[in-house]
Amino acid sequence: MLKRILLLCSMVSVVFMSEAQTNDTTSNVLDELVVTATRSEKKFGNVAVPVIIINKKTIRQSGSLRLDKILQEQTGLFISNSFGSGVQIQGLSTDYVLILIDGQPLVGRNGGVLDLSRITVNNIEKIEIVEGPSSSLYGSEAMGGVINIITDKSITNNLNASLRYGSFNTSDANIGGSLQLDKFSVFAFANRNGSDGYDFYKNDTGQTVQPYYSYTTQVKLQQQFNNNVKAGVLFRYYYEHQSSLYSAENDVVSGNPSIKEYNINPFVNIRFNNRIRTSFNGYATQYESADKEYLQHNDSLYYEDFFQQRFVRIENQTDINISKENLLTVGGGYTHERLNTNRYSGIRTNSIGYLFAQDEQRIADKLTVIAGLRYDNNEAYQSRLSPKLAIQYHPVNKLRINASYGAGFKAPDYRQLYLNFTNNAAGGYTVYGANEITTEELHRQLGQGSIISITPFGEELQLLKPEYSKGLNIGASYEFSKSFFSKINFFRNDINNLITTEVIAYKSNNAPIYSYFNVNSVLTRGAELQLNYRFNKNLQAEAGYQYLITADKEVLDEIKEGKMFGKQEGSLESVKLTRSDYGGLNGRSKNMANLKLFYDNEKWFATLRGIYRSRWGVTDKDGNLILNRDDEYADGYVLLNTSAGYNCKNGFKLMAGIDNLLNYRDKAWLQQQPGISFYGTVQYSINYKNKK
Amino acid sequence: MKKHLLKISAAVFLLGMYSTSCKKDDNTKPETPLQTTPVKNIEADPALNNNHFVFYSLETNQQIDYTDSATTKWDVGFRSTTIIVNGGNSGPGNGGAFVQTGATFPDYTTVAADSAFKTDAAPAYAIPTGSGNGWYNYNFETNIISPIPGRLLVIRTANGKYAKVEILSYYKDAPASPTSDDAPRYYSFQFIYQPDGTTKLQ
Repeated sequence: MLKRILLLCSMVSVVFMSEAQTNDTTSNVLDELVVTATRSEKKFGNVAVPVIIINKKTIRQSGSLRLDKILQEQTGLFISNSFGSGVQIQGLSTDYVLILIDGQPLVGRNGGVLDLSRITVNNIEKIEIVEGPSSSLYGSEAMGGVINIITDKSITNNLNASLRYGSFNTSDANIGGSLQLDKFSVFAFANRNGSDGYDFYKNDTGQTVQPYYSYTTQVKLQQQFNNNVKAGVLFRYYYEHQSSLYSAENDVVSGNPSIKEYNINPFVNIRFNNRIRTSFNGYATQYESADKEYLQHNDSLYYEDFFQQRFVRIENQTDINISKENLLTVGGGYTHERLNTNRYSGIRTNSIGYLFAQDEQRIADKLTVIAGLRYDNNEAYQSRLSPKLAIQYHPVNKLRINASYGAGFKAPDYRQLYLNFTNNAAGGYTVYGANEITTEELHRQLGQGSIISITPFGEELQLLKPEYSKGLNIGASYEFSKSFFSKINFFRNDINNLITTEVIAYKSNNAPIYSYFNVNSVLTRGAELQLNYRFNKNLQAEAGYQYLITADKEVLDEIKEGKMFGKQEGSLESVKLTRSDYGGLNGRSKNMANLKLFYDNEKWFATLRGIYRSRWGVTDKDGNLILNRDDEYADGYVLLNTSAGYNCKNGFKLMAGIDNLLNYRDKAWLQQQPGISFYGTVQYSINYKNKK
Repeated sequence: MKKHLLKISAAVFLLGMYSTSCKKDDNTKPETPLQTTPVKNIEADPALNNNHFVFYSLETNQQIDYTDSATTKWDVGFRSTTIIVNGGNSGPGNGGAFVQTGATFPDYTTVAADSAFKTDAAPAYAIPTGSGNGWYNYNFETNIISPIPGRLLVIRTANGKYAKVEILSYYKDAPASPTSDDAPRYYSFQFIYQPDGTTKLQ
């Protein structure tokens, strides 16, 4: 076996000699650097809020291609799958997680979900995940947490290429390299990913996952002018194409939906002296999805959708070391957003101005206190103040106790503000975004006779407030030894002002008119446990567990008051529900766990990673719209993934892996999981040492 | 521990008393309990009924022809998810209704004196239309209409008598877990009608 691999190595080898990349085996978990938690570089061990770091080595060895795949193996993160792959943090839905690439936000959400499979992991240096509300630093959407994807930097002169092929005709090709010329550096990267998809139901038209391909390109340019001034620009472009095919109206509908995304981020970093440095970031991004679908028999347009979102931002952040123990961070920015879609009645824009400040005080190396505040002001909805307080206590060398309390918010999305949609196919009901209709307008239409009644909600139309949350995290980490690290965190998040639809009036044809209101509130609470153990130089284990309870508070009240009823399976009789009948919010598992083994030496590596997820709510069967019956859950499951790789001396690396070894499939509720799949990868890299 | 045992045995004893009194002593009580009447598969598809409502008399427990819609022969009418009562702008009767939340069919025994009966003023009906407003919830994902558990329709009939109605199913033959394969707009319900004009419904 070994011989064959060696042979394969020499077969594909070229004359170039290359140096093995420096092994980035972590010296210590606590020493890894984190930037996202405080917007300045901190050692992982010194960060007072719960953070997960995924480094390049883990990503590579796990054989992940897209961001959702590597995130699903982390404790407390859950990948949901409607409108693409989104991520839940601490039980907060994917709408409430801000996704950054190199500190800049991605836009282009569908149904509140930012599809993480848009993001290749092949150019990622590190992923930082901050759990809990972080709006004091990042504003809207950072309610459940922030995921910052830090892409490769140009450090040395190198060239990397890799090609992977696997089940379902899935291929992934990458090429990237960087160049250092005195003070100028450039990094460039390109990825193509494609697959034939797969089909669970052979008898119907189209596949469960239709064929797709995508391209990602990225270029980073950077110039160091002198010791104190650095400037650069980052470009990213993404294109995705997926065919669509399904049956409708006794015919076959087909189309070619596509996504185009552009990002550009120029920056200047200036260091005035040892104490003060400042950075200016410009950022512009555009996300555009277009879809035209046609009936096959006469080529007539059956469905059309166009959605274009532009987001432009300028931002400054200044860090001031007031003293050795006190770091002050202040900043501010201005964003402008523009939305053009056939779903609304016209082009919509919104602007936000914001200011933030954070002060970090260390006291005698034992105690760190961080206080932060951010103010967001805008045109379309109520402004918002987001505070945060975090404390770390470090009584003895091995023990760290963390507590943080913060506020998060999510601005009403464009749909909730600007939708103007009448469904003529389904009875002619209309849905207005909150900014598209007023009580006066309803009364005017009542006078004209086009409306025949206005509901109490219709009499109280008002500006939407942002949804907001308060989150508390209390935890501790303990280092039993250099090779055994443990961390525990308890959390509670309360989200208020959740936006829902209500009937505001009835038209003369009896069809209802809906609009959006801040009504509901939910809570999530639980605990996370993480254990890292290194058996020896080569073998390391990671185990994680999350316990999660979620609930709609209105439902809890109704249960308490004895007003919530359900029906047992097979029965039409109403029975009163108790607290223990209520399973909380849909799409959440009470128990999630992972166990990962990583083995590596200079030549080989191998991994075995298991993920467990207990049952989760998916639907309502007894008409009360809440989760209370066993048949309203999807089954829990275990996924087992394995991979192994071999480093040839000549710069080639070979890798093979099997995902979903147990071939777990759930055709109804886990359509993104195709079952067992295999892949093999060849990677080649050349590194030149810098002359310096 | 002993205390608990005592409590439990007392509870068991009381329970025993209760169940025997229910089952055996009924005959000695002055008034016989009202019978629960089950009704199955009232077909309320407007496409099959020339867009008419399907009328039902709780008093006589039978379906009433739509040609009698302008009489007080009927008490409730069904068309798709809309339920009307014989009064207001729906009919010439004295009918009214309200949706009682948070009550099971057997537990709701008397119409409270301060109950606010509403009359139909279409499009605002005594029994409100729309998912979550009246008797049903609509599940957007499964396209299934389900009666909301713990909701009753308290009806004042065309002739001013009282009744309680619990809608059990909107699908043919009242499957416990309907799917998209089941035929919709078939009402199954149970009701208790009080003929003596009092508000007692048990």
